[in-house]
Amino acid sequence: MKYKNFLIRLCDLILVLGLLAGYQAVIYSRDKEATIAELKSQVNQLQGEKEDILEAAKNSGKLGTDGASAGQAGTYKDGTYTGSSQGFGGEIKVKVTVSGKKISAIDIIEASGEDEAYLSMAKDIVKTILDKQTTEVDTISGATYSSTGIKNAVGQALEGAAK
Amino acid sequence: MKKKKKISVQTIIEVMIRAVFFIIYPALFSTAFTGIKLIVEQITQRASLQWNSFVQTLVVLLAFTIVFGRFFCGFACAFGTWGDFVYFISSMVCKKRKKKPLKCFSKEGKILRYLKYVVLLVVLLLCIKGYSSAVAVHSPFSAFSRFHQLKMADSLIGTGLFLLVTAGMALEPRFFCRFLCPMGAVFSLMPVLPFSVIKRNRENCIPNCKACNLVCPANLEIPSDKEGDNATSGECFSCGKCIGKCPKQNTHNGFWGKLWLPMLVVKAVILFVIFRILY
Ligand code: SF4
Ligand code: SF4
Repeated sequence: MKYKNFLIRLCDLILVLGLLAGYQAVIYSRDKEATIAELKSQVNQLQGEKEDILEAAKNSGKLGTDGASAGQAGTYKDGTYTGSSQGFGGEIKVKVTVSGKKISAIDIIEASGEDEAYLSMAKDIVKTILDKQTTEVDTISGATYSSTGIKNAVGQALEGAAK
Repeated sequence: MKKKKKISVQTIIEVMIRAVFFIIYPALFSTAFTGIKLIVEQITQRASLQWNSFVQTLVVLLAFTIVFGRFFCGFACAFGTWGDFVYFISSMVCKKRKKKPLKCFSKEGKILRYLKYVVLLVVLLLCIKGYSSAVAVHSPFSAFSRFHQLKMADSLIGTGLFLLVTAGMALEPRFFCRFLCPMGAVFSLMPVLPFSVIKRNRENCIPNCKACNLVCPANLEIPSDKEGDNATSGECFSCGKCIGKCPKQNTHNGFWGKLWLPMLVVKAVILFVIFRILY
């Protein structure tokens, strides 16, 4: 048959894609179930807390309002700071904004030596740093050089903020 | 005389395409391969598959290969270009010494070409076992991209492998691509659409002529029109050397017929524009 080789390869490819899609579907529903379970337990917990509070309010006659915000105060001084560090192909410079004693924004102002694909992946580390409010986070596997560069640059900037 | 001029136009265009991709997109092959590694890693961790720029590059290159053949390998891959450059220098040296260009592995090549699948499997296995960052640091790809940026590589193993591979490139055309490249292994399994497979009008050939097979850097038996494609068509780099060689212009690119050169430019522009838009 004239296109035998083509057809064999086509079937192989479709098979592989199908397997990947199946895998993704399974993982997706698994993750969804996990989220649902987590949300359910949260709802239960909140329900319990709510009942406790209502109980307490009934006992004391008024709703407690002593909830002055007890957010964990960060240890940084407000302002913008810059830091730089070595990435894959050159210097990475970042600008870190601290407001309300928290790291509120991280901008990469210079990373011309980085490969686009790696950089855009490494940028995920920015989100993690903002979430965790620390540079003690894992680097992005697959973009180790670039993400380490960003991490170290932010660390350097924060040294200025800690003073 | 006229013939000669035509060939040189082709060469100029080819060199220009390669230079542009070599300078602007020197890391596409390793970016795409990282995409494969990431998918495998994510599956090992039972995590959901993520769409990122690596996977995107991978998908673009694979889709492009399915539609147009391995144009990427033929012209856009920086490592392929590096290999051809090294081989070009080595054949120049041979010529100076009045010897034929080296083809040290042309017989063994028929078996060695399966080595790249072994390389692919070994690398992926290492990733499954959790050594993926070590693989990335010590791979000859990383060493190459450090050199490309005019920097010293930071891994001795990587540098050593890179130098070994470069030595091999001088001994046999497309040494790395044919025998070792794990990305090439994946490309060669793609179902290239029949109209983009290079074929020849065998009936019209000068009896027993093998000129196109001999000039082929992948040492392929070019399929006849009747065959359509054969088991080794995936190894074809779409480099077009066989098309330039045939005195009767029997070798052709399926559907596009004799329009090899304009199509070459069109493909280059399409691929270039895709990456311009994406990044
Ligand atoms: S086989 Fe590998 S190194 Fe060779 S051109 Fe293709 S991707 Fe590049
Ligand atoms: S010479 Fe022809 S058959 Fe051989 S790799 Fe180049 S395009 Fe393919």
